[in-house]
Amino acid sequence: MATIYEQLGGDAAVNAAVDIFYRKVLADAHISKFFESTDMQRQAAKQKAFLTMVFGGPAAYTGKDMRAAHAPLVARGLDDSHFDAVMGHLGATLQELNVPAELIAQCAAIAESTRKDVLGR
Amino acid sequence: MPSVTYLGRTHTLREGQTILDALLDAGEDIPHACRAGACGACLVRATDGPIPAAAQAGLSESWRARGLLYACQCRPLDALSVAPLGEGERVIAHITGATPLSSTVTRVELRLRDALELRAGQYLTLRRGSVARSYSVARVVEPGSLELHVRRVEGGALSPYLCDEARPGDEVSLQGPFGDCFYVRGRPTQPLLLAGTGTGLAPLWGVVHDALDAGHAGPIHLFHAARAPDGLYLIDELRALAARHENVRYRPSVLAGPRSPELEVGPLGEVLARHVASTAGMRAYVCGDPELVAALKKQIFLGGASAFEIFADAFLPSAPAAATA
Repeated sequence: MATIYEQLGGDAAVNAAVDIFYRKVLADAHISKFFESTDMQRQAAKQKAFLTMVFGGPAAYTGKDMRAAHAPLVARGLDDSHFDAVMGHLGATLQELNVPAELIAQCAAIAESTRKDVLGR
Repeated sequence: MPSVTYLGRTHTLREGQTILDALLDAGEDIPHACRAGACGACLVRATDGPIPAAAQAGLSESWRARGLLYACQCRPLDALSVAPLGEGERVIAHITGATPLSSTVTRVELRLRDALELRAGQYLTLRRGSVARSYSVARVVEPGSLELHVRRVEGGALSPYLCDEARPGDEVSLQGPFGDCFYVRGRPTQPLLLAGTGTGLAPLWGVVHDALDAGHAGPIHLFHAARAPDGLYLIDELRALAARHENVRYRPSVLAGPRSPELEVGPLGEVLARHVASTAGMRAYVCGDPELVAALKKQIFLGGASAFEIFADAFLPSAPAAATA
């Protein structure tokens, strides 16, 4: 069976999703401070790696990577409320792209599975 | 124990220390400038030992394969041997002319001795002796002939020479090119947004000319900003270009000063917002002051452009040695 990544349309679809998702995140005052960096391209590349993984595409994230990458943010106060907000933007992004509800649920489950590592628990 | 061996001499590294800092501490003469893994001044070639991935971030496949790495980003966990770049990694060029464009900016013309594939808008590291600085290519006039816009930095290591002392026939060496801030054919009707400060005009000058040479028919918005009017240059040439091409809009601006019909006043982000209501579907190029570049990239992205269609060249200043903890 095709992965969500393939069903969505592969790399080009992920780029479109990154634009929508990242714009929502930057516009959200509760979480934008964790996503602002001087190098927007590098940030967009990170969002793309994250969404590619959430869609079951070719990604090479490990729990250890997630933990290490987010440790500085946890030190700055990253908590469940921020994680929940990101989950909300992810769902809204996929709805905007007319992804069927059952696929959105699958993506949300994959994203949810990273919560412990992202929050360093 | 991490160490770096250079020209047969081995130096031990403190934890987390870059090989650039270790070699400079040991008195080795290593060219360097931005210390941010961008300008390419400190590139060296690994001859033995594992290369940390971070030391090669952003380098082309072929350069990585040849073992080139940024000394300023290289924190080895093991013994690493590096060598200065050989003739093969550098290209010799001769200065053919220098023309003042304003009180502080000079157009420096170079003729390459060796072949080098490069595009206007990319940048090169120019070396003279042990000094290296990076400059954007403003124009590739014909294969092998190129122009740079050099701003004279008082007390600078290279720009006073390039602006005032260089004579036709003088030899320099070049490395590169780096960067992706250049015109790409294929979407001739896409609107282009070009915004830069100071000599950030250089890559934009290249992009606008390459676009027009390629027959680009979509709108081209060119914003050039400076703190004061004397920071602007090529004004008449750009006005003439805009008069010849109805799809080209040229808007010079300054941060402060008297407003006039020909010169806008205000921060570049505000000037841009006055004239470009939505950036959706645009391909954007942003060059110059790093802080402004970062702010404009965000503004252009939030204005609707795709994050994958915003290209930037932040001009990093030459940085002194980082304080080592």
